[in-house]
Amino acid sequence: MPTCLSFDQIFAAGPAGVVKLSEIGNTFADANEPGACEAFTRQVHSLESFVRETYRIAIIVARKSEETDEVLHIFDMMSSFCSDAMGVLTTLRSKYPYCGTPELYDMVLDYKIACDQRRNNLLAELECPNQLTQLFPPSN
Amino acid sequence: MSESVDAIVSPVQLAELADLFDRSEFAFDPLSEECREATAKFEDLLRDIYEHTVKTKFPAITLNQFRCGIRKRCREFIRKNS
Repeated sequence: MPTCLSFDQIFAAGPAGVVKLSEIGNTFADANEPGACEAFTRQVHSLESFVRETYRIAIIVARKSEETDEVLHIFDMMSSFCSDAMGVLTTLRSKYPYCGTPELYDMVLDYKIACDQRRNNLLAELECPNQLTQLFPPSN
Repeated sequence: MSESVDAIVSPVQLAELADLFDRSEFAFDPLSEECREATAKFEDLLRDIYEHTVKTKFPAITLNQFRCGIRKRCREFIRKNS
């Protein structure tokens, strides 16, 4: 029997990545210290990959799921994670103005907006009047 | 809207809307040009159907109500056909 992972289990690695970014960022006095930008950039790329890949998994689940609550929960988690990451990046942006920090901040913000839009659209669909079904061809 | 009426959105239109919705809502990269284009085309087609058909026959239905109905139906369509 194949092993199944829940979205929560896949997602669990995310917060540690943000903490690690913060730790590496605070290890060095500034970005000009030898090895600082390299170490920081490595973690920036790791976090970027995590956001992109986790979003893809969230979309696969959202596309298949019949459980609205499950999909809302996933986009809530993604959005909160993006907010937390942006909080850390805000404090590190001035310390590491290069090293990919502003680009990661913008990307995380855009992904947060995408998650919020999908979440809000789902909520709007929940409140949609049932009579509208008469406008559409019958379901197969 | 209490009596039975012919579907305002044809099966062909629904399939087209569902395809655009799929490439917009479920794009793996929400920042891609393809996703943006699909989102814009979905909205254009939805507004076109609303303005030319729904609004004249069912003036009580708002564009927002029609949009959420379409989105809901597209979601079901994709689940059943994928």
